[in-house]
Amino acid sequence: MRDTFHPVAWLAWLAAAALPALSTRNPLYLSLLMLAVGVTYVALGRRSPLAKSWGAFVRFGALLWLLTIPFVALTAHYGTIVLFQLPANWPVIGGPITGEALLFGLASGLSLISLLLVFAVFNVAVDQARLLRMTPGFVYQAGVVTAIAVAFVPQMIISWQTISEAQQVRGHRVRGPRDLLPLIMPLLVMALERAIQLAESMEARGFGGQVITGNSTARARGQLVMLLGLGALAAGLAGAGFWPDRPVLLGALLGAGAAALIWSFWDQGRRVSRSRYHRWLWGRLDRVLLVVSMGAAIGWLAVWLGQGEWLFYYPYPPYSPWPAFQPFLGLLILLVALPALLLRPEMTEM
Amino acid sequence: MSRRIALLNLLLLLALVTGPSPSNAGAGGVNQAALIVRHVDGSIQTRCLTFTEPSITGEELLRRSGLTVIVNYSSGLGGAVCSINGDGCQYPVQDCFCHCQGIQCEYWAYYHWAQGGWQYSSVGATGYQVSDGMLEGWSWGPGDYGTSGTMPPQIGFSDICISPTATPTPTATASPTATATATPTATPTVSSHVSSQPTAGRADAPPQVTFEAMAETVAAGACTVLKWVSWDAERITLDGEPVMAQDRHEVCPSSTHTYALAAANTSGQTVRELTIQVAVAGQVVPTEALGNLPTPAEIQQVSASTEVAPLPTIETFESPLDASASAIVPLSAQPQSEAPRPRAEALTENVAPLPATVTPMALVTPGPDEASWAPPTPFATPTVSLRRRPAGAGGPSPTPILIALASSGGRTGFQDVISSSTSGLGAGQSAPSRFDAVTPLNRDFSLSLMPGYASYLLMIALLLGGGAWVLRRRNIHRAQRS
Amino acid sequence: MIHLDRVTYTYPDQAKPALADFSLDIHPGEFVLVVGPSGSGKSTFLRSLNGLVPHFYGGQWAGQVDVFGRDPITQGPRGMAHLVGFVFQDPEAQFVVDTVEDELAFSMENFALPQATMRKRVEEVLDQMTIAHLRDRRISTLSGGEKQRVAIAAVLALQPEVLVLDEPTSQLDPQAAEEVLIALRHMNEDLGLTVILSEHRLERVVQYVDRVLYLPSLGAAPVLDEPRAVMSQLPLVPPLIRLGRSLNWSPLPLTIKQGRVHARQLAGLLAVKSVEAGGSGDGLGADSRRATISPAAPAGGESSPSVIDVHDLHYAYDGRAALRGINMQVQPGEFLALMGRNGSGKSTLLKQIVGLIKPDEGKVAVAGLDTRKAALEEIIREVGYVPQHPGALLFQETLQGELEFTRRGHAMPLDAAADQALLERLNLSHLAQRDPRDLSGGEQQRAALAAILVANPQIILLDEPTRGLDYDQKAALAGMLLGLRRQGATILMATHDVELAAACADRVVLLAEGQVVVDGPARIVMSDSQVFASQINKLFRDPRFLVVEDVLRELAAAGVEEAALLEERGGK
Repeated sequence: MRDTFHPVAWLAWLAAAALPALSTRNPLYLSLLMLAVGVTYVALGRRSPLAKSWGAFVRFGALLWLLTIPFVALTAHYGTIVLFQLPANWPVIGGPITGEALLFGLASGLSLISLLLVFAVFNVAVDQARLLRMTPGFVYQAGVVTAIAVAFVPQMIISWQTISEAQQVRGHRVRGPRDLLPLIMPLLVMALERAIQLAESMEARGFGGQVITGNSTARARGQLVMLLGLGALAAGLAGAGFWPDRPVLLGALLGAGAAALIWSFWDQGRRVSRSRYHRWLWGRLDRVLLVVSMGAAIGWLAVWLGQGEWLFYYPYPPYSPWPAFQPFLGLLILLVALPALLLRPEMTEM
Repeated sequence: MSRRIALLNLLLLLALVTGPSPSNAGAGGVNQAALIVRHVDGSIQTRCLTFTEPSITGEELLRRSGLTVIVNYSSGLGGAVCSINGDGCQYPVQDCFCHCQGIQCEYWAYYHWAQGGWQYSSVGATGYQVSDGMLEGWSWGPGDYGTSGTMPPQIGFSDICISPTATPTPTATASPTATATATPTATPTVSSHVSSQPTAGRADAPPQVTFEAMAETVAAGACTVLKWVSWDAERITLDGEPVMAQDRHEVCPSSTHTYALAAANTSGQTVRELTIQVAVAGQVVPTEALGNLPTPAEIQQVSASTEVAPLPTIETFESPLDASASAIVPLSAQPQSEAPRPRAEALTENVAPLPATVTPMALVTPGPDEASWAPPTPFATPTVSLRRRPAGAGGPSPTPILIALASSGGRTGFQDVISSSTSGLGAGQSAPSRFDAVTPLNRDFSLSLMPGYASYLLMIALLLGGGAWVLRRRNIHRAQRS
Repeated sequence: MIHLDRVTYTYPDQAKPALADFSLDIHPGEFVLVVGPSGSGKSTFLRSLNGLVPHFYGGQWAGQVDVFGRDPITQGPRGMAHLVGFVFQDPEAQFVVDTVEDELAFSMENFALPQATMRKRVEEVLDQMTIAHLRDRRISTLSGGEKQRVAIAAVLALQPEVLVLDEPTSQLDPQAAEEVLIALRHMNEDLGLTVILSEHRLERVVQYVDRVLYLPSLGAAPVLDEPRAVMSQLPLVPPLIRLGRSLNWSPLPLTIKQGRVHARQLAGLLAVKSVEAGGSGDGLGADSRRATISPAAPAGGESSPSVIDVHDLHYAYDGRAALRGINMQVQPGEFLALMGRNGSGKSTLLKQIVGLIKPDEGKVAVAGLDTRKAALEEIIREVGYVPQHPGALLFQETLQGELEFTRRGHAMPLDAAADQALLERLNLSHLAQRDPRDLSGGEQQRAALAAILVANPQIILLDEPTRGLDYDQKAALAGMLLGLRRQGATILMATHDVELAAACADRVVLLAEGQVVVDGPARIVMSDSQVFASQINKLFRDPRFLVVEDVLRELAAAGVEEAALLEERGGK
């Protein structure tokens, strides 16, 4: 599969696109984000098998969203825009059904959908294997396992199809949740069997790299440092909750903890010897995407940390149900659609 | 286990419903509920709300009382009150519980009045149903979130909500004779304190304290209740232990004990002592203590002569728009369930000296001098002193405001109070804004949103155009290739 | 040099050892074939060569193994990976990444080879396995045979000394299997790799191997000897060898070429002219030649209404036309074999007949029901469909439970006696209370068949029933299916297995690219084909002889005695 841009550039894009989805519920920003991501997807143009399975995920997410809207709208009886009234003596849903609750339900689900979309497009854009190869040594194995887990999903979908056909032909009808058992059990067993076979194959091919175990003192030192680092981080985080008035001490703890962990990871990574087959080249377009996406991500982060009020949307009184829109933030979201501009159709061939 | 909890809840609910709130319920289908709110700086607001539904939620009670409330709904488990009238945490800019260290928080604690005391609410504002005759309290202060908080002051339901059938007949005069006879069984020092008039400045004089006990002699193993009220005190201790400026404690001495209540401020200290005698079994409780109690006849007289009934503030405060006409009581009155004896005493003592010239505003609104009040620090000890504006220079007694107002000349006098309080608030913009409704944000569509929306639509159009262009380019490319 | 010395290994929680006192030597550069019935320890032996047994499986181990100077027990699979390349049975579950080139590089990256070395080796391996044209393809789009070749290439990239393969062709169709085995032969002969292969389809490979390792049963002593010597002992052998053994041909022929020599001698005795001679034989031969083989035309004249009627069926999915104008009629009581390459539409056609998918154009009528209009419940009362993977069907805790589940699905009353009788017929009654997923491959196949037959359908559809079965299991299956046919069932079987089709089928339909290429009596079609002919048929090139029994019967009919044969033979 020919690549589009360098995976690291796409990672920066992911940050720029996921940050808005994570940080705001404002439907204006989110709808703009979804459109920008959609334009990128259109520009990518591929129909990879993974894309199909992500379509299923997105549909599932949309279904979930549609289901949670009435849940919020019917249980939060608060607001001044009353749509209709249910008898107050009904247990949970009794009372006024307000427009603010409806808006809040809509906005909450929207952030989930947009996040799903962002990840779906990222998945289509980047070759998982390439991304996998770029993980640092100490998490390489976890990365492989994750990549395989992701690849299992389309296989499971195919298995599901096979199993449901087989059971259908036996006269089985799915009428209720219990009837799913004859479908789920074989699926799980088949997936498990496949997983074991794959594990065997990987083991036989020497997966795990050549880990230079080093002498026991080096190992013990690495473990000790990691333990201390984790402890310092935990203490720092706990202190931030309980004693917020000592920023210097907390900062020192967190910094020391992070440094210890990073050193320990680097040390372990050093001992995993692995080489890389492909050579990664940075083209001009890759650099442009990287820089612009990083700029957008940093800008959004700055706004999130500094001017948080721009981002929140809370329709209930005393706040206004009309969402605000800051053009600057809209611009940052527009930058998410940059790949659509940079991609040439020939780059997207299978 | 869950059945037990359900049963407990049911019992609690029953208890709360049938609790000791003698209410003027359902007279003509009108239900009333009372609300007390203690703010960050210790000031108190009370409201009486009339409603026609059989019950409303605690949160509706807050809102209908005209207070601007910010509630956090995003947990999906109901609402948590974050801020009342600007006090608290401005969710969602801030966290709803923004003054928390782990579980110790400074927050709005919700209490229900039940069985003669404040009970911490196990249910949130949106879940609790308030029905006729209930008294609800919201109090800002430190506590453990979910289990304890800072209790609201003890003001009786009947002090806040007058029965519609009750006819308050406040009279200015009170016969001093009734005063004399209605001597509480407290130590003589109490009366002496009552007669002293505090001068204007709060730090100019040592604090004033009323210290009483329900019964000065108890049988062995029995209990009695100590009550006290203090003014202008910064630190108050009972037997060396810090206590609140106005509170009541139940004590069960095993042997005769002298309790010392010390109230101190920058100008001095006032100490009151009270000895509770523990009668040995078989010993007759001396009746002289009882003998000092006013006879019911005297009590009647007292109540006839003074206005014991609470303020008739109900009717005017039904609609939240009248929020400005709030009865602000910086100091709580006596608990309603008490016998009128001690109150009568203080009452009669203090009724007389109230000059009509006193601006009830000053009584009502501690506002203008609010700046001089030191707001309580977070995690302060419970001895937050409730400062109270003395009623102007030269004279007004350090009386609980209600009584003072009531006695300022009958109903009309009270009307004056109300109107002047209204005007006072209107004129006195120095009144702290938190006593008004917080300036409501504009919830309607305003033109200031238009530029933002215009740029939004522009960007949408841009993206759609870009998408179409990309599609076209791809189709051209595909056509070229094939 | 591979040396096993008194190896005894028991799987965890098993009573009997899988390998007991196992000793053998394999010389470098040998091509060894490992044979034996299912469950006799072949897989265990193969895995002990690279340390998967016992490192991956656990269990108890005793004895020594030496593989080219290394001990798999101490090294473990990772330590042996550059020495022993292991290829597994299922092409679907061997790949980590999705691109061919990346998969080839995966193992090398794990060994931290320098980039230049990796690039060189990738090129070499692509050429060795002739998959250079697949370099940029996604693995999920490859065919089964291509996938297995990529798997072999991936392990070859580490340049091992030994290539160990555990039934690599069992999931593949004959052409793909052929490709793989040719590649293996090439590895062995041109590169000198030691190849140890476990295989059921002996006929394809037995002629190339140096030695055959026969494991008779679990824990029994192995037999490692020359192919001919072992073949004469094996209970289950390909038809050619079975014929040779019954007729005492010597030397035992391993290939068609070797067998032709003997067959020509027989020709005289049987007074049958070979097809190559071109002469007209007796009536039977003339009849068989006169009967026209018309493509896409139904065989013979049928007066009885057909139980399956496919008329101008078109169907497409995923943008591809899977079936293009299929016309087919099946009479009640016929046994029809659907043959063709992978992807020719066999499975799709079966699904159309059972009504799981509906035609885009055309009509499919089954037992009088139009699949477009009738509900699936009605159709499945008449048609039973056994899918490719019995694992997709079995989920209950006992076999008995499976039968009851089907009964409930069909709204049939429970009948324990009938179920028991059915299991008896399928030789599964002793397994009625066992968990179906614990059964062996052949037993699972029969269990799936039982689960479908509970409903007593008059039409039975089987999709590749012989995947991974050994000869014994295949013979049992064939017997069972013939028994069903005798009771009046109509059977449609999609299969690659030429021998099975030769043994059972009356009629063969060949599909290619979604169209019917040939449709005629089995004997005619198979003798006319190069690829889909049974061994016996290839030997004699005579429609009369599809299976060994045909030949023996003819011989008996011709009144020739074994003694006379032997004398002839001895005389030469």
